[in-house]
Amino acid sequence: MSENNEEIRRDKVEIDEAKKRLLQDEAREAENRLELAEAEEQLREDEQHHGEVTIHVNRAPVVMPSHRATGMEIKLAAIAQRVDIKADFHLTLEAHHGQEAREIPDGERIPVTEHSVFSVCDGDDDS
Amino acid sequence: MKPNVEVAVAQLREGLPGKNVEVVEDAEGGAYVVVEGLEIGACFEPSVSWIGFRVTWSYPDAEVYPHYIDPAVRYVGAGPTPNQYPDGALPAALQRGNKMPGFEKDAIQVSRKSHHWNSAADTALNKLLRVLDFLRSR
Repeated sequence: MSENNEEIRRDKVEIDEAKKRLLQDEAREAENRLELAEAEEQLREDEQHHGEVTIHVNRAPVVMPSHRATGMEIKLAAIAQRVDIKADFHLTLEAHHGQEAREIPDGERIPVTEHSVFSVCDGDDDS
Repeated sequence: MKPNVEVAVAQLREGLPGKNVEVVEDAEGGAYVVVEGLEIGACFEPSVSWIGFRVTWSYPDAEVYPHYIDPAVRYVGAGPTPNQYPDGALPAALQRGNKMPGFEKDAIQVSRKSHHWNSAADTALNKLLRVLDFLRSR
C-alpha cells in the first residue's frame, strides 16, 4: 500500500514538473513570437527609411539610395543619373500637401519620399 | 491672362500657403504680382516685406525680373552698402526710388538677373525663393 502511495506521489511530482516545463516553453514561445514581431517591425522601418526611393528632379526620375539625403547628395545623384544640372545650382523642394516650397541648402539633410519633387536652377547675378 | 501665367500664379499660391498673393492682369496676357508678408532677413528693418514682380505674357520663356520690395525697408546689417541714399544705404542690387508697376506704389528695386534662365525648370516661384535667399544672406 505504501509503495503504491509513493508511486502515485512520484507520478504527481513528474506531472507537476512536466506542467512547469510546458508553461516555461509557452512563455519562451511567446517571448520568441514577440521578438519576431519586433524584428519584422524593425525590418519594415529600416526598409522604409533606408531603402531606395525614386524622387523627381527637374521632372526626371532619380533613384536615391536612402530616404534621407542632403541637398548636395540629391544634386550629385541627379547629375550621376544624367539630369542636366550643376552641383552649384539652387535646389528647391516643391510644395506638397500644404508644405511650403523652399530652397534646400547643400548641407541640410532632409527626408525624401516618392512624393518629393525638386527643381534645380542656376543662380542669379546683380545687374 | 495667358495659361502659363495662370500656372505661375497657381504655383506661387500653392508654394507659399498662408501668404496673400495679389494679382493685377496687364494688357498683354501677363500679370503683376505682389506677395505679402515675406521674411527678408534680420539684416533688414522691418524684416518682413511684400515682394512684387511682373510675369510677362512670354513666361516661362522670359525670366521674371526685376523684383520690388517695400520702400520703408532699411538695411541694418554689417555688409557693404555701395548704394547710398539719404533715407538709408542699401547693399548691391537694391535701388531706391522705383515704383512697383501695376500697383503703382513706391518701391525698392531688387535687380537679380537670371542670365541662365531655364524655361524648363525655372519658375516665378523658384526665382522668388532665390531672391528671398539673396536678401536673407545680405
